[in-house]
Amino acid sequence: MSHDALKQAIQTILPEAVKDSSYNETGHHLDITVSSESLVQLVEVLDQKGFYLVDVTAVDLIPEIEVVYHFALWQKLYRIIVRAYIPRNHPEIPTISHIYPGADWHERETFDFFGIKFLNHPELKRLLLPEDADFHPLLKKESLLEKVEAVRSGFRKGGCRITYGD
Amino acid sequence: MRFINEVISGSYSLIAGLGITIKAFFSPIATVQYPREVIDITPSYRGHIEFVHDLVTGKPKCISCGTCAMACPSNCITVEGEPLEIKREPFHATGWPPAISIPSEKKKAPGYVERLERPLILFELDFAKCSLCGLCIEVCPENAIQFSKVYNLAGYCRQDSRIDLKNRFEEIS
Amino acid sequence: MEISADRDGNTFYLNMGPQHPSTHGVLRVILKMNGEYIQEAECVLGYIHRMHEKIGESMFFSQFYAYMSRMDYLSAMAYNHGYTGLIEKMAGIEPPLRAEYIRVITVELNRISSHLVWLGAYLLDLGAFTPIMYAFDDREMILDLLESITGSRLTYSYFRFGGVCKDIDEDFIRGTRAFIKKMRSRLKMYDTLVTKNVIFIGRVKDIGIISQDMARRYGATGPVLRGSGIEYDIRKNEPYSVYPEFDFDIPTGSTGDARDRYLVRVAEIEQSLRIIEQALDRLPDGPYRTEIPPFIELEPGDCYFPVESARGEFGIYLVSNGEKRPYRMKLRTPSFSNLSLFNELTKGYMIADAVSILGSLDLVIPEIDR
Repeated sequence: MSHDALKQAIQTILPEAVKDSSYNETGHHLDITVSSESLVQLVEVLDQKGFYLVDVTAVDLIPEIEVVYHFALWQKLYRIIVRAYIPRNHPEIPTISHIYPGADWHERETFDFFGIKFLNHPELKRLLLPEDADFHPLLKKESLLEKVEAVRSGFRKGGCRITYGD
Repeated sequence: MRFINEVISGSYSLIAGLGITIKAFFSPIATVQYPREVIDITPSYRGHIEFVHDLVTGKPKCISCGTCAMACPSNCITVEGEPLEIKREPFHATGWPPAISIPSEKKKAPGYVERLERPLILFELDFAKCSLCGLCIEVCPENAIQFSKVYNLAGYCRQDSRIDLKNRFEEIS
Repeated sequence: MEISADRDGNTFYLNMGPQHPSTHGVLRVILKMNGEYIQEAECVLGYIHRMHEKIGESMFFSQFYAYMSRMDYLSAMAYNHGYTGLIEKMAGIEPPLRAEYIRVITVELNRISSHLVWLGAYLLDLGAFTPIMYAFDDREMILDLLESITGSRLTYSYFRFGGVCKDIDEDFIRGTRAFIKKMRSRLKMYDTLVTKNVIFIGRVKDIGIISQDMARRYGATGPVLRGSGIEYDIRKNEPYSVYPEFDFDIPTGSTGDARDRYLVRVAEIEQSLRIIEQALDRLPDGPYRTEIPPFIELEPGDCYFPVESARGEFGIYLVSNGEKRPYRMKLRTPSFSNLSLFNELTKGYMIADAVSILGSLDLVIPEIDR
């Protein structure tokens, strides 16, 4: 199954935003943005194609928190990144641990650091911080948050770049 | 029959293992009896940092710029120097460069201006926090610090980990 | 293995606490036992959690570099390689060719030393007191070699953005060639002493069988995956640095039990020796570092860069907003995904087998907790 065939297969099922991504710059071949409702359907398609789960994490941005999933193949070099956006005051997203049991611990860690609730998770409790901690460390202060466009390549801030050294 | 096979394979493993142990028994010993025999340290060993002797003036080369304190990831260096007065002449037609310039020894030009020293008051390293990464040595513009070869530090209280490099330099030289 | 019926009065909880010689770090495992058989194994983590991801958001790129070797202290060079490789990819810095060869030589030496520690500690868990001494004696040779160029024995900070911080000399090359010769004869000795030993085979054969589908769903990588028969190695599938120029094989197992994982790791030592030999023969002359300023800025964007450490795929995902500090840094460590298999894998085994499975997964707890 080639790059175009896989892209077609995903686009027929979900007409979401599927973009080619340059491997030499970002390390991924395909960049998919889904909504929370169609996430599980997309992951089932990837499971049938034989992808393995690399990572589940999140990034705190304006206006919504971005949940990031990485998948990859064994047979040939192919990496996919899947992004889903959820609002900050109501952070909930369905779990994928019934398809990929390895996501169980990754989702617990993301809940621990960001406070994101994964619906229908078998046992969502803190993994690394103490059980009685009442804060989520990786959420950022208002003054330090960045917009989604500001962390995508091609964005240029105004002014010149200053570096130290000769 | 299976019993006999097991006995044979078991005794083969036993004899092979014992053979290796007896061979090792007669090989040269690898242990070093430490306090009585000491091995030489390699020249690139990373001990805590110390000042470099300046061959011309005999004083430390540090100009108290504070770049090492900024580069340290663990914030263990404290640098203080005496405040410096810079005389500025008013700009005229050939105004640039200003009257005072501080070239480093690497960039000695034919028109060499005498080097202004910013005397060092305090250079303190908190070795309990140091991770021996070497970034302070890399960013120093004067190459004034280097790794020492001290490997057996000991003290009685936590404050003993604060090393005053200037006093140490004067004690050694 | 059969799981006996759950009768009341026979179920109890056994705690393999954070202080335990066989968990290889501070790991707590709560075992729900029925008589002598394990029904459930729940791992409690976080005893050495230092929040590296938050620290990474408040440091400059060159300052955070020192933390990389503190995560997995046995395979620190591979973690250094991952971090410098990522920053060089995002910033477009090209290290000189001699630096790339030196990096490969030191990474492979470190891989051998990590496998030797694993060998000694695993056999010590199973009850053999001699192989650990021989393994650590071999490891001393590697540590002396690496100390002569980097200055540290365990947590190296030897690479820099753009190359390595110090060049290697003739003594190092001569010492490495002598070590390669000696190590090959020692591998034969391990073969006789351990691999063919009847007690060892009885302890590890058919224990902890990981099927290919299970490994895929949990995201296991490294020798844990290769023991089940999948040929997946980042150095061959997704080559980085100068690995395409070397000729080496990927050893795989067939059934996925603990014995196959042991054989895979011992075979990897031999392949690493091959790589080091080829690298020493082809070492080019030239500069060992390109000078770049100490505080650099990266373009906005995100990037993922995986490398093959001694335990599996180590990857860093970095999100940058154009400043001198990262915006978000995620560290994907191999032992985290490998340990999440443990609950499903030990159902129905006895405790001695659970210790054997835990040792065959080759965990280093500080890289799980970060």
